[in-house]
Amino acid sequence: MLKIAVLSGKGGTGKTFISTNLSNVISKCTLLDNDVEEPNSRLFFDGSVTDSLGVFSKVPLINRSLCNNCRLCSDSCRFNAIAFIGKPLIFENICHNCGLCSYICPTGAISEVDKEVGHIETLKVSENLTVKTGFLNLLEESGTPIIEALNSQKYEGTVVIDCPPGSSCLAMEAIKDSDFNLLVSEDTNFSFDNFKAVYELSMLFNKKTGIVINKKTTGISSKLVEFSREHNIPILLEVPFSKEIASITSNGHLISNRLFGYKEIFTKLYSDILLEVAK
Amino acid sequence: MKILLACLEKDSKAVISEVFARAAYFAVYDTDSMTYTYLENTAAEASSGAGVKAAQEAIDSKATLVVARRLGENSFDIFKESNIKVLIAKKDATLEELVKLALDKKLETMLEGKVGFHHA
Repeated sequence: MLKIAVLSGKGGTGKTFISTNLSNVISKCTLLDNDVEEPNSRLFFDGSVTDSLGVFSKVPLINRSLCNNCRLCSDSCRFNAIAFIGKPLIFENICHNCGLCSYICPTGAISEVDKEVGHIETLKVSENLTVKTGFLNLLEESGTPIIEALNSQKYEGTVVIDCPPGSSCLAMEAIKDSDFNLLVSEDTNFSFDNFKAVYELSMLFNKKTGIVINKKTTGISSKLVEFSREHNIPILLEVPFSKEIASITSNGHLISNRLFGYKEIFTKLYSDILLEVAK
Repeated sequence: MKILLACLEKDSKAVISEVFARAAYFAVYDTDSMTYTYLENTAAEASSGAGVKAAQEAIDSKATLVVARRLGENSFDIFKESNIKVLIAKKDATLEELVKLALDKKLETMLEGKVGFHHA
């Protein structure tokens, strides 16, 4: 099971654009939408939703009749999720579900209970392609448990991960088990700056890495291209800045279906990734 | 009675801090001794749950009245649960001025915490 993570330093560079078109040309593929705060890969495919499963994380629950108000839980929580006002008061939205409080409670007054934080929906597109989408519930602060639940399962064929933007905890969780990181960037100073942050992250995790330049314009000097040469990072695809591509995509279609030559271009991207992974 | 205010300097003539949980210090005014003591706010450096930690420090200081420009939801909820009254401070007023206004009952009670001051 080969895992390709598609990520970028900023939003709007085209992670979903690349993920969906790439998944579309792979003969056996599962696309995991890890952008759980605003997942939208599924919108590019027709199919039927075959299941929807809740994702739960553990939150502490205090049994007041056992609690002796010793304050140990409040003093020990490194996330400051438990206040002590004569009795412990839990803030679930700050809790990182580490389980320390229930572990150290001397009277066994704290148990961990399941709280639904989101769900995972399965969209069967064809025999060759399944799209799994992670959704974070409104008002929840951390999508990490959903990404963890999505990425820890076994899947048939190649896995493409549409990552959350940026280089924070969510992105780290998304690329944890990837075999290859595909970094999508625009060819602008702004995008380049953010690109460097995810590149650094990718290196920190010791991952094989390649670049897609999206919305490429000609005639400007490219810091991104210079950087890629300096650091020996392969540029695997350049997608031009094009009204036609934008129009097809914003109407919810895939250029690998609608635009001549792009099925082959994305097929080549996939085989180039395989070659990079094999290096 | 002890009144707690967030501040950026250990000086009763200094202006109140615009933020609560991430202010550098808390001034505690004791109405019996009519003196100020200053506490380092350890919540200022917290990576998570600063509002909870700061409110905890206020509770542990035995203050029963808090004067603040604004509070996050979590701090506000903790004070509410602990029956600690919160008054709204006037902008750019000094700690001394605010203590006087509070004692003269010239400050309004804060009725809600604000969402969205914490980072994601």
